[in-house]
Amino acid sequence: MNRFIDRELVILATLVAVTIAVFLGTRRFAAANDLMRRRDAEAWYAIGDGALKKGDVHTAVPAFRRAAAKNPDDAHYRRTLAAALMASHDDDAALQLLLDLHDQRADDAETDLQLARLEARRGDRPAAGRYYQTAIVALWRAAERPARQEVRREFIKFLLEHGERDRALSELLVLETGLSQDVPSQVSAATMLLAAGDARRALDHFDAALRVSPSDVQALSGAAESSFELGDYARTQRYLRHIAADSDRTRELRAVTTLVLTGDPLMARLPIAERRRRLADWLSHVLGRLETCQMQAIVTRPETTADLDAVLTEARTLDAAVASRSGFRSSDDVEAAFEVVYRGTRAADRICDSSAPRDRALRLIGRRHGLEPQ
Amino acid sequence: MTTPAAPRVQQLRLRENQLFLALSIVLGILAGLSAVLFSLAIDRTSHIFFGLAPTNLRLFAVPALVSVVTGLLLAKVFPDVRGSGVPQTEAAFRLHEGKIPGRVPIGKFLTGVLCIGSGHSMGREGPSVQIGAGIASFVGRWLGLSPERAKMLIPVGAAGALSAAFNTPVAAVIFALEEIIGDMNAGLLGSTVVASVAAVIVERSILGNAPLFRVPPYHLVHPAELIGYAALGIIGGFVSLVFCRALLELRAAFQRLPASTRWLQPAAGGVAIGLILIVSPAVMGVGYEYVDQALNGGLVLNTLLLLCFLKLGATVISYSSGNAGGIFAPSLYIGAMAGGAVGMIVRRLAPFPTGDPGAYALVGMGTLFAGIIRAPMTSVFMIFEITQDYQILVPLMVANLLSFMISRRFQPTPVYHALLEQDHIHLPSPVLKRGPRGWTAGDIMAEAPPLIAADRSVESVSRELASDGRLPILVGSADGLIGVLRRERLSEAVTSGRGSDPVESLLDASFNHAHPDHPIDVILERLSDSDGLLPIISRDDTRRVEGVITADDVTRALGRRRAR
Repeated sequence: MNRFIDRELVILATLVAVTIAVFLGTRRFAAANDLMRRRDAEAWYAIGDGALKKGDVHTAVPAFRRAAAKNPDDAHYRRTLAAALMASHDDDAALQLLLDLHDQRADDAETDLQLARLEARRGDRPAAGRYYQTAIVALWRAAERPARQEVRREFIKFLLEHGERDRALSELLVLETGLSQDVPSQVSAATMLLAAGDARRALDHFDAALRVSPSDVQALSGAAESSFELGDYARTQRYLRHIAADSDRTRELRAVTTLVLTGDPLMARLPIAERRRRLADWLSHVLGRLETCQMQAIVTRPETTADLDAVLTEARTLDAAVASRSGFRSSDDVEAAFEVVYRGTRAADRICDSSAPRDRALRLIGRRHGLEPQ
Repeated sequence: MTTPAAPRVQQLRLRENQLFLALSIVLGILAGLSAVLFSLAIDRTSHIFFGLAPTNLRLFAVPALVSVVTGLLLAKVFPDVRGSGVPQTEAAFRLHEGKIPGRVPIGKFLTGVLCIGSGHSMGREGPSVQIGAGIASFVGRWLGLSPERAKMLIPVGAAGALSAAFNTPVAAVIFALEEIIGDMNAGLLGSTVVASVAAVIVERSILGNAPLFRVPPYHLVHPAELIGYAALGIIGGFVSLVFCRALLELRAAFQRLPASTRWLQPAAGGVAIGLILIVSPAVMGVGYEYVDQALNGGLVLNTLLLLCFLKLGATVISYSSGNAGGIFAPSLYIGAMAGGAVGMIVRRLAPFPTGDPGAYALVGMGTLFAGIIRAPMTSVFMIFEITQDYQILVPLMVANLLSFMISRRFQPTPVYHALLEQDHIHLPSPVLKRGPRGWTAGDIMAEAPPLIAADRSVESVSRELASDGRLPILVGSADGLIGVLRRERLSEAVTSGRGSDPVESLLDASFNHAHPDHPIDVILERLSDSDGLLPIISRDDTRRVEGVITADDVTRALGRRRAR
């Protein structure tokens, strides 16, 4: 039995040696196979990419699927597959794939970003917001900072599209801290600030952009828009003067600011005659508008005609007074009369709203002089 | 009173046990490595044969041409490595004292790689089990272990190989106990666990920790969803039944062909597989890539149904035509496709919230496995190991149980055992093995009378045996016993003018028989159901008659016992 045991030990030692040799050989074989699979995956990816560029998602999806199956460690293949699935409107499969990837790689910003876009498309705003935020706070290398800013910009645009101005403003505050001084960055941030309702900070960034490139049309338009929002119509005109080619918007801005600056009867240091002239001009416009609206209200909203009649009577009385040139010797008289004009235009707005430059200008003048809260 | 040598003997026995444990570890690693190598070789061969995007000509020609080569190898060089390897391993363990010839693992590796790599729809797990068990058997014999010890190495090698092949160490141990040993109370648990763990460690150190399938977390969305899973269990049970019946019928048809065509049969299967691959290359080989897609909701309903149907047909053809490969992976594939399809239908029709179709695909895998392989415990543990999610267990058990019950009700013999029976091998039941060792048929049986040739005419047999009592007649051919002929049928045939017919035309398709290891109670029960003569046939080859038992033989044996 002793000899038997010794023989067993020798054979066991031999077996161990054989096992080690087989293990090393198998590892080499596995490495070679792994390389083969990676190459296959690259080839399938190239096929899918080519098909996707041609818009052929039916070829692209299976090709990306095979690439992902051949090399499951490469998250890029799976993300591309998800993108192709989204392109083929198979959102459920894309979501499943991305969630799976998200579970495996919690700090992968690109996966989170794709998930955010997908959820945004599916209309799940809270989920989209959550994934945007996880994408932003994911691990980014120093070299990827611009990409991270880009994700933040996309998130801000998403928030603005969905009316979440406060959240957008707080994200914009973070964005501003690392903002580059180049024109596109400044203009982009300023545009978003303007959309979020912070015209003051938007104007600062547009001005910063204009300091670098004074003739930049986007910056000029944005600055004009911002100063217009701030009620600084003289400054708006200054910016508009530098814009060579008018767009519909700049043309509208130009018309409204000109009307505000040339038609304000309450402007400081105006002779009383000019004040009266401007008041008469606005009164005549409002009377005409009220009469038109009254006709319209009889048909569409008869319950409002009583209010409209009262304002119209008041305006006609004022018109008679302006025509007789009695009174209106002081600015206070003009201001009181303009208040009636303003009430008239607001009453007309309630029945038949108008966005004509003249009506907009009248409203802005009223607001400018505190007749309506800003 | 102990002799002075006794402590020394005890010490040596302890050392032998320690050596056996060490051997279990080494064999687990070797079996695991063989399974990994087998899998890698299949991948490489498939890549060589088909490249990245094969043309239709290539898809058709490769399986047909390679099957000519494998057909020759399987017919002339390695005749005992056709099919899965699991039933053969069971037979080696239960009938042949764990002896698997050395050429078997080599032949299985070579032919398995060629068959599966050339696109045949077969699995790698069954062959891996046979290769692992074959290596263990060879090492056991090399070491000169006692037959009992050597036999114990078979489940060790099988568990190691399966653990590495499927990356599920617990399921591998359960499979070795449930299927190979056939006994969940086996004392071999320790060594199979050791081998399984060693194998999976080695496998993961080579292939990485990534699971075989990427499975998202699934759970029961609504309690009523169990109805959907129950429906899956019922459908899975019937799909399993269709698979098993088709496999056994087609295989029997191939076996009825002349023996001279045996080398060409795999090629005939190869031609059919080539045509199927042109329709859908997704059924090629093992196909886990597509199972993964089904689990992740990457396939639409029509594709799931098509792949389920095509894979079932392709596997039946590949296996029945005598190629080397298993049905373990195909059963999972078919289950995933059927489950995914049921999941999609349930989602469309159910009035309650339902889970993702991928969850149904996952449960479907276990359901088909339970229905086809008939290893329900392995199935549950396997899915649990794949998902590592407790939540899926309840639906899985419901579906598995239904599938298992339906499959067992309509196909009483499990497919692996039925395949062995087609090869004229009858396995002893584990219960029989554990029963008290009293008298067996081998102790009682008398010498069998010579077989009557099946092609002889009814009249000549009737004339020859007219004065030979009333006992049934054993009829056979050059290969051995074919059937049993009752005297009444012989007389009826003579009186009805069928005297010139061969006696083969009067044989009962199935007849009562027993094996030499059957105990006396089984003998008496079967004898009472027979016409007075019970043939005792070898388990190893059911065409070989070892003896016969009549009521007189039992009486004589009782008399002998009383005399003693």
